[in-house]
Amino acid sequence: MLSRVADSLFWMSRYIERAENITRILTINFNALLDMPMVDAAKSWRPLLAISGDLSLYEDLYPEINVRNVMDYTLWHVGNPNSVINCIVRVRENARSVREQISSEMWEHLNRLYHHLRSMNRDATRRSPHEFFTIVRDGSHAFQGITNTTMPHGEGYEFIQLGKYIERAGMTLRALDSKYATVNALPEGLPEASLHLIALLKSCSAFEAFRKSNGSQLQASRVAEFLLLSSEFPRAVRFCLQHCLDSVNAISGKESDVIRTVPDRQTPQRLFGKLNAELEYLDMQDVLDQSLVDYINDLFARINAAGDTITRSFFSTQVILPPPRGMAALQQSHQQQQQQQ
Amino acid sequence: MRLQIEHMTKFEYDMPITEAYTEVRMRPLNDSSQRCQSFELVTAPDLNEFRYTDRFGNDVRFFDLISPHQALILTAISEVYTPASYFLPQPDLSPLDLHDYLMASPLVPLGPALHAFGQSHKIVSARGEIDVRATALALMTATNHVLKYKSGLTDVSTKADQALALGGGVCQDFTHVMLAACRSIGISSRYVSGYLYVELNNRQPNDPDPDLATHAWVDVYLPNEGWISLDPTHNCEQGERHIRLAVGRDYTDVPPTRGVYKGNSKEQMKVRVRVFK
Amino acid sequence: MSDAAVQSLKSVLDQYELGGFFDEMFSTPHQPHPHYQTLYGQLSDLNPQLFDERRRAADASFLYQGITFTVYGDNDDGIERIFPFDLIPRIIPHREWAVIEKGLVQRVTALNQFLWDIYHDQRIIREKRIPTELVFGAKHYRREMIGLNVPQQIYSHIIGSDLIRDDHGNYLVLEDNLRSPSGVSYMLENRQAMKRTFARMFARYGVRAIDHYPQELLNTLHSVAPHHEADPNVVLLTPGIYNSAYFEHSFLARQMGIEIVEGRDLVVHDNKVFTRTVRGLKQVDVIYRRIDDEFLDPLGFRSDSTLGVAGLLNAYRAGNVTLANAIGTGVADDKAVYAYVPDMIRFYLAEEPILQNVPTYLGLRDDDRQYMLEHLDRLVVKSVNESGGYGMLIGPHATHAEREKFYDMIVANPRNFIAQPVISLSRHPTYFDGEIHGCHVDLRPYILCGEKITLVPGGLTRVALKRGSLVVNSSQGGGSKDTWVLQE
Repeated sequence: MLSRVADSLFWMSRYIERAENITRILTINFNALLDMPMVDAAKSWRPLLAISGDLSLYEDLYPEINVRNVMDYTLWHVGNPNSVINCIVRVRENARSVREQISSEMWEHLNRLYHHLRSMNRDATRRSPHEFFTIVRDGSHAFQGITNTTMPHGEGYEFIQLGKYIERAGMTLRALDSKYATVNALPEGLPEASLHLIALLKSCSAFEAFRKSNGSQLQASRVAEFLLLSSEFPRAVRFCLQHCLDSVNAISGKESDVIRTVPDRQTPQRLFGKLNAELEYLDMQDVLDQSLVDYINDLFARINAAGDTITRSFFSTQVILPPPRGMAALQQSHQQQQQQQ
Repeated sequence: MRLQIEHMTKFEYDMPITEAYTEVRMRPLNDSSQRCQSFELVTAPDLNEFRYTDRFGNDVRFFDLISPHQALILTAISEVYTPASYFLPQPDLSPLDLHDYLMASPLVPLGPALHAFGQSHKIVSARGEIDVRATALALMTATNHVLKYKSGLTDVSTKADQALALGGGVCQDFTHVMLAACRSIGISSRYVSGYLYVELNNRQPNDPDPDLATHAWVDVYLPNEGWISLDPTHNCEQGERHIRLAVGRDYTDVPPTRGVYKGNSKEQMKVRVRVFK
Repeated sequence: MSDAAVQSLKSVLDQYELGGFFDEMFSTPHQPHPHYQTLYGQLSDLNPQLFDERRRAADASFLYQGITFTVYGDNDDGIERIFPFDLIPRIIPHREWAVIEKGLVQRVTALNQFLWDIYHDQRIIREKRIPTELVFGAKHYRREMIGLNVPQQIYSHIIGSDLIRDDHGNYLVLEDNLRSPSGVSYMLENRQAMKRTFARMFARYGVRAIDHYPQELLNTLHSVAPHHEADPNVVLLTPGIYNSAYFEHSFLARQMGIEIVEGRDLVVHDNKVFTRTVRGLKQVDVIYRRIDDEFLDPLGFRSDSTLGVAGLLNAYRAGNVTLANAIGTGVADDKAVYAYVPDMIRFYLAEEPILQNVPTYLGLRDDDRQYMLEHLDRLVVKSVNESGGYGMLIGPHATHAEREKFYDMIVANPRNFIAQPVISLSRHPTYFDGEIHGCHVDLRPYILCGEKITLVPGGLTRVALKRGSLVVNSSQGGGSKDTWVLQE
């Protein structure tokens, strides 16, 4: 597979996942605000703006933080690189550039989603974004299903999985990060804490799954453990990283009639392998004894580093051949010149 | 005369570059008048060298260096026997040569000023036909007089009409102006790229700087006979000190090196030519 | 339709006017040609509302599938448009097609021999059958190709020749496209749309299939691979997703199951061409390229080009990779060289041309130029190097100032212009704005030259959707129709 194609598939997948994730992050606050009228709306939007976009850019563009402006910025603004519409545009551009690698059904679905969002009444979505959220989320889910059933599960498919899960792992971490500190600061047993945790779980579509595995115990530490370490729930960090490793293994495992160009290809396998091993044997209590927030930030950085090795190993277009015969000769001739001087 | 040439070109970059492709026209021509005894191109780093013969009959070598690098050194070493006076018999030209050596080319436009320059030195025989040899010799001398040798005035992309208007330039410009004048009045002529052997203690102001450059002059076609070769920079016929490397319509067909690479780095090119007896 | 009471298309068809042109469907008003009889009957029975619904459904499916081209205008975003598709098919009877096919095979055979000749012996020039200046002075004559040997001496592997019909219904060749003719994806998609929309009507007609075109194209590309590779690696080289024909590039790559690459995906090493893959470098044998000669290789051609790949020309020269089409084919579709195609057929094949040219006056010839300059109001003048309907003067429709401008341009650069009489192109009933209009049409069949010469029956019928317009180009507001060649 062409490096550029793999790159586009990866980012196509990341951007649709990101579009979905942004609507999920916005949902956290949207629902929480409805349930908790006493919360300072402006204050509660700030951390979410920081996650889903660029807060300082927002402040340059809008005089105040309110739902209307936040929706305008996060859904529609062309200047916001992570606005949902920009993500969808990039999904489509990436898909278009690899049109022959994905199934017609995948392309038609993305194209339809794009045209559908573009045709929506923007003002209405600024006031009431639920329909917009639903279209994006269903659109992303349907895309996963269509991909699963219409595209050969070969190399290209693995890059799509890789993009999806690496993006999703990051999102779950960020969502957890945004709420955990708030909840932890509240006195135990306050209904507000529960409301925050329910909003967090629902934003990850995890509320029902959490209930099934944890019964009625709605504690911050349990929610954190579930979202970090579940190996069964598809938005949990560990689940995502397991799938990243599977895809990386599938991609790296095959041989073919090519000239190898990048010497060390083990790096993504090694980094994802280490992350998986760590999460597999992680004791949640150890983390909580230290600082969960620090741990999340550290994990986030390491996932990004693993993501960078994917770029270097598979997408880089720089060709580094085994050293040509003359490299030694070049050094020699320099030496000779110096001896003569 | 037996001459040896060592032509070194060094490309240096302040940051690593990749995917460098280089074409070289440095092998002396082998024809019935000049003989190339040996030729070797050495590259550092040592690269796989390929070759082809271009449409003008020149020998072209090329190679790639795609891994990141900051320097590339080419050294061309040749040994050649030059005739005391040059003449290349060729009773007729192909239709394409007839067209190419008579029409305008990228650096040899045929504007009114160049046409007038050519026309004013045209020598016509008693029977009313143009005397090609006499006209060509007259144009060589006229070019030598109308242009003043001065480096820095022009660059590799200066066209004949610009050089004429500036009134000066280097051997490349002398050659382009004379070509334009010849072609304007119907004389087939072509660009010759080469070297000039100059004894170090006997340098003339118009001689090429041995640390900078190769030389250039003009081939003129005498119908039904063949090519004579004239050097307007020195106002003389090609002699035993001239070494022919390549021919073409103008400089753009015969640059000694041509290359492209990827990278945002500045290229520094150093050339050193040494010709020994 | 303003009249909501209309129950069938018959009354609409009955109002159709021939307008004095040769009509593809009708011989006289209300009287279709025999091969259109069945279609006429079926259309007459159709309810206009239903027809309109189907038409809209077809348009929507084109849009959702992304079968669009991009028009760049004042706002730099570019607008995606579908190439308007008309549901009334153009029908060509078997015997007419047989002549077209034979004529085109003859024509492309001569054109490929001409290309070989002008890059080798130059016999046609030595024997003074074509002016030297016309060939060697052509913008697309590539000196790099001199003496270079291409597999099986084929230069143009994929050719699209534009045919028109005069007022007697004779097929004439208007131009040949030997560089990278586009539109074949519309031909294939139009057929899909027709099958979806009018399955029953289609089934009854005995229409010859065209769906095997991608396979034929792939066979052609395989057959010209260097050294007869068992399973050659064929790629399609595109300028990228912002190119107006990107849909077609991607469509063809998908249909052939080959990789679509951009210049940046390729790299040349040791005189061989490779793709950059996630595992390393993989060698390429054949490049179906959809970018122009001068952008192919920054070392060999324009050094500012980022669309191509450095070193490609040398790898090509060494025979390590095949380019389809070859470099330098544009000289043979130069509009002035076009005038000599009938002579080429006589010269190389010792045959009389089966398909005629449109009479053409060359600016290069003194008599022709004189005639051109004196009759600008009656002629169509074309610049030899422009395509897509640009650089053109339609004398009878032009203003005095426009004619003056062309007069000066012709005098300044006669080599660059040709002129042809205004041909009253044939018309075909076409549905738009709720009515059926007579619109001018042409036909672009696609000819594949590999080990053998292949045509799929039919081609792209382009239709001028502006009333009275003679320009059928997609970039100039044209549309297209499905083209049905009937079985014997």
